[in-house]
Amino acid sequence: MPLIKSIETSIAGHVEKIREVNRRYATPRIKMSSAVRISLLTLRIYLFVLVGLLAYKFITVLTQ
Amino acid sequence: MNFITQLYYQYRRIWKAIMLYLALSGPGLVVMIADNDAGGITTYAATGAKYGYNLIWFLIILVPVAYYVQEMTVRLGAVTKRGHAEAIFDAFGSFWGWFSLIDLMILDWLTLVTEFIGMTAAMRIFGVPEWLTVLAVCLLMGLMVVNGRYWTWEKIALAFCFLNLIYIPAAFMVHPSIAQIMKVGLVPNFPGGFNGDLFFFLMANIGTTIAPWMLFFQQSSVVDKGMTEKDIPWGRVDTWLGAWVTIIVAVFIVVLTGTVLIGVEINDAAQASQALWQKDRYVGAMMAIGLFDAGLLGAICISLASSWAFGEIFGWAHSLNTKIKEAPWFYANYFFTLVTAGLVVLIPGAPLVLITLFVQVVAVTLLPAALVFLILLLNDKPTMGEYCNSLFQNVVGGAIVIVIIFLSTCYGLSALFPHLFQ
Repeated sequence: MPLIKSIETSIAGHVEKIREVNRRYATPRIKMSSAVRISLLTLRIYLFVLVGLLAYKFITVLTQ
Repeated sequence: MNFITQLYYQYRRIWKAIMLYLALSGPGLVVMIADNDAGGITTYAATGAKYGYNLIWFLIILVPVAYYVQEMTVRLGAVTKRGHAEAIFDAFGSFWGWFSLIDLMILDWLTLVTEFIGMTAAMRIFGVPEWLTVLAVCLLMGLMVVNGRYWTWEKIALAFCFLNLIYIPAAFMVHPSIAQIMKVGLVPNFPGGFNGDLFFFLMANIGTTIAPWMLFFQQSSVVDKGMTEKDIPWGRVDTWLGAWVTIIVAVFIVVLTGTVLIGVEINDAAQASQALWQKDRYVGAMMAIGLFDAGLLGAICISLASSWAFGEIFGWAHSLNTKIKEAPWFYANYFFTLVTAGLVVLIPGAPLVLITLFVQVVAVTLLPAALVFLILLLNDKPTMGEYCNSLFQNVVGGAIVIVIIFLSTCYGLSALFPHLFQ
């Protein structure tokens, strides 16, 4: 029982740490100029397409 | 007398500069030479076996490519005193921060598995069982960090970097034709025309030159070493030298396999070692030692890149200058990554080929993001001040980043769809 308790405490501690990180970095510090906005948008699109291709490949492999 | 005084003065000045460089050298050399990891050795060996000396010129072009990208991490680390993961969290918020951190963790772990694959395959040539190689590597890497001093770790890593030069005497031992190297190797050419096969090899070579973990590793390493703005020129020298050494080693691997194994299809570096062993035992043994060393260097850097990144974000003590009891989570992460990656190689029937391919795919999800963030961070005037990217640096760096993103994406896609560029 003390082991389970300590695991629970450890997990709770880590979850709280993640929340704290999220709070600390909630607002991007860099000035959102148009170049930054365009770069981040392009990056999102790039990753979206890439994840789509990965999913397509995964489904193709599964259905073969 | 005046001449002798002048000479002595010059000698003292140069000697002092060398001593200062030796004190500050490390991150650039280690990261660049570790870039010639097990996967890199395979790529260079396969390039030489397929195209002989013909693509040496392309490797030489990669020197400034590697330098310009890694130099930016030196400036960023020295000015902000933050690792790359922390810099991304801080500048772009938690979404991009978590994306980079989790992606880095997955990629590093998978790459670490490939390093173990390389090391065990290399030692198998000498009859060393896999379990013994994994155990010995884990113990050695454990011993490197437990002393609690960055300096000691770095100097041991540099000794392994020196061992990476073993390919140079190995290449001379097979008596390559210097005239032929000069004639076909240093003149830009596309052997057999620009076709899908050649494009794949160009992508693979550029893909192994810049890996995402390198950006995170060098920046964190610069911070852990305690480099400041005034050390940036030395950091540049270190990175420039490292870029040359890594490419020189790559060229000698190409010369080695291009001389002896031309026309042989090479799928991994261990296979190249065995093929060389059959022709010349000493050269084969040197190739295998080099492969083991490359895997070890890769493992040394990759496992630290993850631990540093996690430590930065979670606020744990995350320096090699701390003892295990002072930074338990930092070392726990380091050993956990290391041991689990080593154990995967020992699992009978583990999908090692699939893991190797998956590394390329995951790399293309992180590399473009890390490079774009790097350029944006280097243009953040309020933080970087006078060390901000100049117009020239933006044009050169930006062009290099675009080419790397394009080619590495094609390389990653070729792993997903093998017939895409054929």
